[in-house]
Amino acid sequence: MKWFPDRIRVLTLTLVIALLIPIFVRSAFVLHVLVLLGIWVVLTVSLNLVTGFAGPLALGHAAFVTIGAYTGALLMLNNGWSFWPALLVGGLTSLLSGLILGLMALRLRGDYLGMVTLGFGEIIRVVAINWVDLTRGPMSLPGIPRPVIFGYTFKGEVPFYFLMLALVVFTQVTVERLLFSRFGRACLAVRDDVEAARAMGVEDYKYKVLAFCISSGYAGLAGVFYASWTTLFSPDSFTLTDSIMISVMETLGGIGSLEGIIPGAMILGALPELLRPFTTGVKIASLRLAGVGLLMVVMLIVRPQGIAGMSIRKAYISLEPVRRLFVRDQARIQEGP
Amino acid sequence: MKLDFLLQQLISGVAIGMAYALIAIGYSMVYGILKFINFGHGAVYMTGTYIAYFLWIFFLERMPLWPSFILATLIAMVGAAIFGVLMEKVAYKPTRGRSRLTTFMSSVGVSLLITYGMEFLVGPAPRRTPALFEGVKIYIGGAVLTGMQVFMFATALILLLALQLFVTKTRMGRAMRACSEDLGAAYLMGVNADTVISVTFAIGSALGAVAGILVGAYYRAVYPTMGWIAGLKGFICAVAGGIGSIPGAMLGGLLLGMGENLGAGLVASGYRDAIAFAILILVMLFRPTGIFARKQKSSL
Repeated sequence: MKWFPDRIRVLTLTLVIALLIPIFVRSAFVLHVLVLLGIWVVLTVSLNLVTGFAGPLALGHAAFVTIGAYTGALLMLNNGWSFWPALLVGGLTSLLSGLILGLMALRLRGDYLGMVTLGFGEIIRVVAINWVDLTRGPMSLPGIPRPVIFGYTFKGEVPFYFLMLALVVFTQVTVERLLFSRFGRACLAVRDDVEAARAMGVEDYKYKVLAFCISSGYAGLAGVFYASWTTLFSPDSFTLTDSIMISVMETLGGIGSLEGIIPGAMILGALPELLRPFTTGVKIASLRLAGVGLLMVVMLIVRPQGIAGMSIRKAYISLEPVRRLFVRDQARIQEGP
Repeated sequence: MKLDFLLQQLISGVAIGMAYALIAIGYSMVYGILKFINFGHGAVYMTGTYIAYFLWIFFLERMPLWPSFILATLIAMVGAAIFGVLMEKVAYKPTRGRSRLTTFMSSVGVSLLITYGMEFLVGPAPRRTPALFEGVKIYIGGAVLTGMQVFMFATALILLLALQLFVTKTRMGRAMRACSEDLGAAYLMGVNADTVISVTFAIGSALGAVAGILVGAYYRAVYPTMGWIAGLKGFICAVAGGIGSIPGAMLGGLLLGMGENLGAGLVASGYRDAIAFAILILVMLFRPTGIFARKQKSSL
């Protein structure tokens, strides 16, 4: 791909900044928020693989986080597994659940698929609440262990921040490699014109299912990370509103854009934490969700291509390589669904 | 004993199912014309319920139970209808002509905005509604039927029949059917599509408000997030009965109400919502045009 050098440059710069953050930021709270932002970024980037590139609308990402988190946490707590194999199995379990749901549901069209995935999320939540013998239900699962590597425990904010960063980089790099592979080209073809793709021999169903289950796998990984970081997981940790939240982050960043997604997730993920000092408790939670809803409607009406599309001309005139990078991508977005 | 228990579950299911059918109408009619799932319907249902609840409490200090209930419900119907029409004008109309998914996502945003805006205003705690039919019970075999269940069933049935008459017998009803057949062609034939769409939203929202206050009075609780699950269940009924059809919505409602109650009785009551969604997934897999649909072409 021609724009690769530019992409690499921008991403390396971002990564360097991200690596330097712990040197300058000493506040445990800020680092905690950054770790949570990492989770949101992983979820949004992975969901973008489905909605942005393969096409179908999925609103059940929280379900896969829950499945992955419970699998990982229970393996660690009940069977004494260490973090790494539990992470792997948690991710694989989510991937398999995604495969099963995807095989069943991905024959449905657009908004119907959205409703079915949303319903699946509710089923998972209800099961997690009621299967008290296994999940302890609403009493939540406390004391989930932290990752250990060669006898070193990732306990504090800084080590976990780096671990999270590793997951974010892993997700971004693998998703990008996937997109520039045969698989990614097939996904884009399916998204842009199903009929043409079919005529070229691309089996759209197969690629949709693949994209869906791979993206669920990332959600499972993020779930195990989240459970291990907060050391606590309950059926209400990730719910329907979180699934919707991930979609809003995607809409804000620009559905199907590689660049906008990360800032989109970070802005929305950081918002409630930034507002926290000013208000408290339930009020802020409802205000935040109401604001997110409003933002979603406004973005869809005014700027369906997301912030990446919005800021091209104004913000990037002096950064010629970056501007070109964004413009090229925007051309693709506008041809999108 | 076991048989009585099943009968009891079925009766409760029929009553609550009719309320679901009223919610389903909102999805079904909008889908029939605009071909998109109005996710915001659950939020309108909740808003209508709150309007009715606050008015009911307000009127209750000034008049007896029943007049206050009926007056509150009627005003809430009008309020919800206006609300629904406004919602369409503000959030959905600007996205018309774009992909249907955009409108759907917009309706998800509307739903969040209204639900949590309401939660911000009134607080998340459930409020207890006054009791209707206190202590009225009817015995059928070993099963008990409460007055509220009979009332819910009868009200919903009357409203659904009235709607069916409206759609089949009046001029506006004919315009609606024309629009749901082919919006573009109806427009070319001189049907004012914007008016029809507004009327559709108004009727769906008003019926949603009635369903809301019925369910609120049945469980004796209203709370801001009540629209999420209720809305999803309304959608399940609309799909199960064949989206776009009024008798279908009723049958879908009865099926879902009885199905989830039987399931909850046989498995465990905590799994009620999971059973409802399992029904949705099964219907989508095996009869995507709806269980009771006969000649419709697939809407999927």
